[in-house]
Amino acid sequence: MKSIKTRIFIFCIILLAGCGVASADTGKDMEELRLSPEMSAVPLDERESLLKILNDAVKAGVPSTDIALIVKRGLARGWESKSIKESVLLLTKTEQQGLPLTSLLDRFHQGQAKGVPFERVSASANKLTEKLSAADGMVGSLMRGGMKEGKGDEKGKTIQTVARAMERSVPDAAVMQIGAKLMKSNSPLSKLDAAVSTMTNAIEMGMQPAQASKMMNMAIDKGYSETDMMMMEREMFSMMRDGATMNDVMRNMETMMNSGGMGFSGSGMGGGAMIHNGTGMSGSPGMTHGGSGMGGGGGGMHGR
Amino acid sequence: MDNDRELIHKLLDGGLPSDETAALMKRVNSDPDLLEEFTLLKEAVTVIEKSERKQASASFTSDVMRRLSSGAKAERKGWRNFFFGERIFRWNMAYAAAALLLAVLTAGGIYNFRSGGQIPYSALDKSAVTVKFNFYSPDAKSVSVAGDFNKWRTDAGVMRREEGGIWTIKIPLKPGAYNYMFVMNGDAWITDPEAAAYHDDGFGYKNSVVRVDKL
Repeated sequence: MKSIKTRIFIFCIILLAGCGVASADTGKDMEELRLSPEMSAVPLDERESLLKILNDAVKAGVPSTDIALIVKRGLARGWESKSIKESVLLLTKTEQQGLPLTSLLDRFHQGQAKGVPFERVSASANKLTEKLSAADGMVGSLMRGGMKEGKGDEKGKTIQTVARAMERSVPDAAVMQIGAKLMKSNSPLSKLDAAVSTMTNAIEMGMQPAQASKMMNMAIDKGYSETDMMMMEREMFSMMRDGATMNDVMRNMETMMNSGGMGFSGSGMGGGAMIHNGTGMSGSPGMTHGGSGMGGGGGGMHGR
Repeated sequence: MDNDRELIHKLLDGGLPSDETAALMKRVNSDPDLLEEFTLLKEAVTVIEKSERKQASASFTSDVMRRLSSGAKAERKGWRNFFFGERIFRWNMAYAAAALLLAVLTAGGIYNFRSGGQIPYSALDKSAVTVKFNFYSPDAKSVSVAGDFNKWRTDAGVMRREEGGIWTIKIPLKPGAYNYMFVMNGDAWITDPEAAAYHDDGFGYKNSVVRVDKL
């Protein structure tokens, strides 16, 4: 008798702890959402169908924390439940296609936080999903060709980087050209990620896609490492900040690469954020000016 | 084998027919383990039979029955003994490992519950680096930093006002590049003019970028 009681007791404890841990994330988020004041504002019939879609999304693997946040923010921003359903369905579909979700979730979070209307968020998210799908095909073909994936979710990261590049009008051919070159030199996927990221950032700084592509091809031919590419990008940004034109920047980069030296070594931090590492500190003590001047030094202010 | 043990007990209790006894003894004699067990049990029975017998009191049966009279009470006592009765703690590596695993899972669950899953970075991560964000605005009533590291929550990175109208916050971030903006007075999104780089946010505005290197 005692033995049975002990077994029942231990079983119950384990069951409770297991259930508690397993549902701590999913259950808590969804239950909080179901009981939230935002949700109670949704008509009952709509609420049931919305909750079903949300549960399906969680089952598909979309993180419940993100879903809850998107729904709460959407309702708080006055999005109709139809719009929220559409958003969550897009996330579910993307997850089911095996595409990385991070950048898409970020697009929703960012758009909602900044008060961007649903139509614009939806258009941007749909466009991103298309690009993710195309990027997945490109990265997949390079991997099938022999490009190796390193630690962690390098594939997912690279797909998102390529998708961002495509959003910035980087031609598919430019990405594939770089990919093919790196594949030939047995470079890992992380190097493609770094190269495409640098190329995209250069385009965002104002460089023409053709110029950026030429520069990256040159860097790869010269054997630039991922760190070199990052430092190259910082150098470009620094020059731009100092008032150099894009042509000057491009010329400088070409000269630097042709001179044989990488020209980029060591590490450091720039920008408005200070980096602390316990006892040490590196980086420039940047300070952001804004407020009274409504955004200082090119910061710009977007009040919505 | 187990059946033979049962038969042995039956035999010692004197309840086994003679034909079955003969068959059983044949099997017992052919099995050394069974024979040893049988011998020991028989010796025990002999010792008990030879020992002094005490006469039970006349009220013995009624005393026992009185104690057993209330089934519910006995059940309650059973549960009380179950929870509060002293016992010897026995353990083995499997139980210890299971307990440890349970403790870790529970701690993880509690941590996740407390953080609300809001912060994708972890101060406990050894690779995390503390990044200090600064914003100068003497007139601001509130300032926070929102970025992909806190799911763009304007209530997560609330900055503290320091002397001279400088608002600051320290956030532990793992190595990587992060997009962020400052949010002044709850609704004005401001790009950091001193950022390390800028990225389009997909909606036509510029996010500031902070890069955290491996140290």
